[in-house]
Amino acid sequence: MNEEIKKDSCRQDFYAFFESKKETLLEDLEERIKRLSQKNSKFPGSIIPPEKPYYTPEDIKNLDYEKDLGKPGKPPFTRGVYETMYRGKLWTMRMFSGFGTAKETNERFKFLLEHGQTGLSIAFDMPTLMGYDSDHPRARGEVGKEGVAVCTLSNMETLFKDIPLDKVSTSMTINPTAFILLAFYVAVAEKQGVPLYKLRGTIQNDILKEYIAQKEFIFPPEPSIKIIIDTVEFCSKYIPKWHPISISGYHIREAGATAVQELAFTLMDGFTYVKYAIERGLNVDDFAPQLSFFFNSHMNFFEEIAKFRAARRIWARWMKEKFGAKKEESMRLKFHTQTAGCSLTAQQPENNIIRTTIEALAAILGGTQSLHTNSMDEAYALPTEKAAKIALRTQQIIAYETDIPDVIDPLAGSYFIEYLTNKMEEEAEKIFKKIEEMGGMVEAIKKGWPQREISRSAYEFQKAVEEKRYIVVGVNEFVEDEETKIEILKIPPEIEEEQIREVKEFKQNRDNIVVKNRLEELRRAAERNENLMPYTIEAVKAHVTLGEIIEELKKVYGTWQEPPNLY
Amino acid sequence: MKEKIRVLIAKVGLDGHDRGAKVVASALRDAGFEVVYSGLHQTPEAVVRTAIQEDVDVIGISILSGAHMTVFPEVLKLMKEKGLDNVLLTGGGIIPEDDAQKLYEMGVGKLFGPGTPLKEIIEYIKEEVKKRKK
Amino acid sequence: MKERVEKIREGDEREIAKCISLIEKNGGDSYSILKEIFPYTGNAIRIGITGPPGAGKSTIIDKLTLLLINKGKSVGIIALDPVSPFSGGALLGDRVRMSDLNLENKVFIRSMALREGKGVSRFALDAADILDASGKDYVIIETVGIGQSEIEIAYFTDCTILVLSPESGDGIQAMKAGILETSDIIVINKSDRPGAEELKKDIILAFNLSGKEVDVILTNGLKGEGIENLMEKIENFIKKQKIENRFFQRRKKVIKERIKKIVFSKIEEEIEKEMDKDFILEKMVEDIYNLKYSMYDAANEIIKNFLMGGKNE
Repeated sequence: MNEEIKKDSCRQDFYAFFESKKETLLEDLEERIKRLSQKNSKFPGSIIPPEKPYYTPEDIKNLDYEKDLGKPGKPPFTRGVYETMYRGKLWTMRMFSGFGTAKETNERFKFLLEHGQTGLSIAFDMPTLMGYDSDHPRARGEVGKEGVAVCTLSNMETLFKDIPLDKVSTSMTINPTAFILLAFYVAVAEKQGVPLYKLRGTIQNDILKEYIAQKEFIFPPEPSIKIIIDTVEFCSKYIPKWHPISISGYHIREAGATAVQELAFTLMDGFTYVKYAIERGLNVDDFAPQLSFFFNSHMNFFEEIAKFRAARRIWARWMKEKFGAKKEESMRLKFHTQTAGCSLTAQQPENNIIRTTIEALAAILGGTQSLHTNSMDEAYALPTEKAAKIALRTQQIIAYETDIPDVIDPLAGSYFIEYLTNKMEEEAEKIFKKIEEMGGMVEAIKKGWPQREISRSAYEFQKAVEEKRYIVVGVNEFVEDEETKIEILKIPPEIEEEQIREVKEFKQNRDNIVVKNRLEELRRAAERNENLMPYTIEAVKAHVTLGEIIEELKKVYGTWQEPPNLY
Repeated sequence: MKEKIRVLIAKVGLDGHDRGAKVVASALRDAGFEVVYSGLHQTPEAVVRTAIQEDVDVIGISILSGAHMTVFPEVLKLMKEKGLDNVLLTGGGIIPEDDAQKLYEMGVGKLFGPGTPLKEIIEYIKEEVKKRKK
Repeated sequence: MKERVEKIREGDEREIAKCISLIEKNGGDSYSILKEIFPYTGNAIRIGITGPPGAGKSTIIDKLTLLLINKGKSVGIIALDPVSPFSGGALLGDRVRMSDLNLENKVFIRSMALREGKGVSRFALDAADILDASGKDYVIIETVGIGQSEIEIAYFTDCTILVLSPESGDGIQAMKAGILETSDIIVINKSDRPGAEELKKDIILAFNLSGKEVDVILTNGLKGEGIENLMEKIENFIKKQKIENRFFQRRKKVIKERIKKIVFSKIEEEIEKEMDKDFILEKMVEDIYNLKYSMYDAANEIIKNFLMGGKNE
């Protein structure tokens, strides 16, 4: 009897409880559903609306397949720049490298070529990037540290010893001094007996993003752009397989820009170069096919894929409608991608292998032409051989073991991806309009606008991490007390001494009168506003050094100072 | 009574990557410090001279180029020469742990690598400055 | 104390810097040091440089200073930047534009953070005294470019220069009342931008209408153009002021204005301390909210208590 009463009274209690709480419980339930369906952690600066849980045909109801997507390899190239994409040829696995002396870099090149890398990519040290010879006082402590020191023709020859220039494609990550490095390359090719039209490669040579993001600049904007157009003109005539500019968004993203800002600023830089080249008198279809791009691939997977697709569509449209391009080749946006350096963590570095994999996937699904995957130890130092190898293998596994390269633009038609691609394009157009209202990219840079925008995005990203609105595994969540020691690459100090000695010797063992003459001629050409490439090539052949060329040109062009209030 | 902590944030050498330096400078300002920002391409001599004129409590140097084993000792040497014994020398960027340890033994303060929460930097500076004011 | 003054007069940078910090701390020491160095002030020509943000003040100061030191002069520069109203901190970035001067022996640059809207801070003027006493030929004060300091600076200097740029907005109409009139020399920087010549004409016209004289010159700070001209204009202006005896009259006015400023500033500090005591203000707010009495009653109460307290150092 007691049991019955007990059970019954329990049931009574339960019903009583439920009745009293019914209202609140039902309310709570609705709130809970709403809260749980909301995205918790939003990637800072992302344009993905956080409250939208899924997408439907309604979201892309105005999509016109022929106009907005089209076939791969045909304008507007949204689905890819080539008809066969990876079915015909895989993306180029191009790993950035270079450090210490030219001799060691040459050995690392040969190592990577033997292990299946298909293109060479060179990183230069800070003095080379900024126009100082290794023996200059300002170069102290920085020679060979972030890349290879190349300030003399002999350095370049050592770099490419036993590497036939007609058999490789070389990408040089170099900016204000790019025209000099190109001159070195041409001189080495001539010595090897390779005709210029056979040379394949790229110089980054994108000064506009330097003013905005990476801050490797020497001269003010106008003369810097003039030198770039000199290289564009020279390459369109003599080195047709060379990409004279790699219009870059990578660094803009690394400096803290959002995905949209990366997209918009990069394309605007590209439009600016095209504008100046056309003003020089070049025919757009003669040089545009040689332009290439360089983007970042970060952890916001879908947004990145949409970014790449939108980039192709926007470029194709602008080239045709605003710049009057007639050849399809001029409308093709070809790009190299590097996985995001700024996403790498020093904490639990092995996790970076996974990050790099996800970012590589985004780039491949986005249709990149070549890809560099970061090594896991790059938040610490320059990568070791082991780490660099894993990064390369990451690409090879995706390429060979998965079905991802087998179908072109597999995500096309996804309600989400097409919606996002459209949104990327709209947001980018808003930024284009703003910059045009300011008088163009050069004006905007002088005003400091893009620089300020990026500073702000960078600060907001950091705040999001600090406030845990954005979780970074191992950094602000899932933190460990770490003892994992990763072996890192150290540059021994003898490297700098050796290079300085070599440069000093080089300067002694040459005809210094000829050197003086070539510098004179170069300077006068600059004063007369002539194309500097032929003069630079003659100068480097006469053993003029990189630092000497820059010093001479500073006399004509002056130097650039950043505008104030960039924060 | 104004007892603000004054910090000099400098980028030494040819490296132009200033995202971190600017984010730290902004955060220090938001924490109530007075931050003198020196800009890019400074030399050790210029940094120390600026530190003297601005009478800063802290010098923070951002280095990502690998040149830290040359720059920090140089700045430390100049600081000693000019009698800046009570000034904290700190910084951040890409500095491997064992190098940071060596520098610490030379007299450089803690160095802050990638992923360091800004709060940590702010607290560290506050503590160190308090210690040195005694 | 005597040693400190000696060191300052010799130009010892550490001592100068430490004294400026002392002044900012506004303690008892600062009063004594100011008193000690005061007899040694008066030699430097004090120049105020004002104008909207981004016009190029720092760049012009940089180039002007280089010219001055080439002529063998020494220069002290005080660069003012606003304090963040939220955190009380400040980002002082004017030195970025003057990095040429970092290693010049004859130049001393100090950045100071000051609350905007409160006019030129008396601490900045005190710091200028220190630089003056240290033997500098010129002391340049660069104002924040917003708030009252733009106009006030004229009251505290021998020569005030207003730097504008053609991009600074809608031209004359948008300028603050009084700013054109109180400037001695007007510089239109970024002379290569469209609108520079027009702006110059507009300003000259405005002055012609009012019957006053003005010097308007064009410069291009980044390229260093027009700076020689500016330096000459400054030298000529000072010469003229001295010949017409206005220089010393102006300095006397400066003294008067500074006394007023110190008085007001100190009273403000003291009253603020009073109001912060024991949550007096908070209690009054509650009462006023409940309509017990009016705000004027409260204010009068506070002032009466303050005056009766007979505080002062």
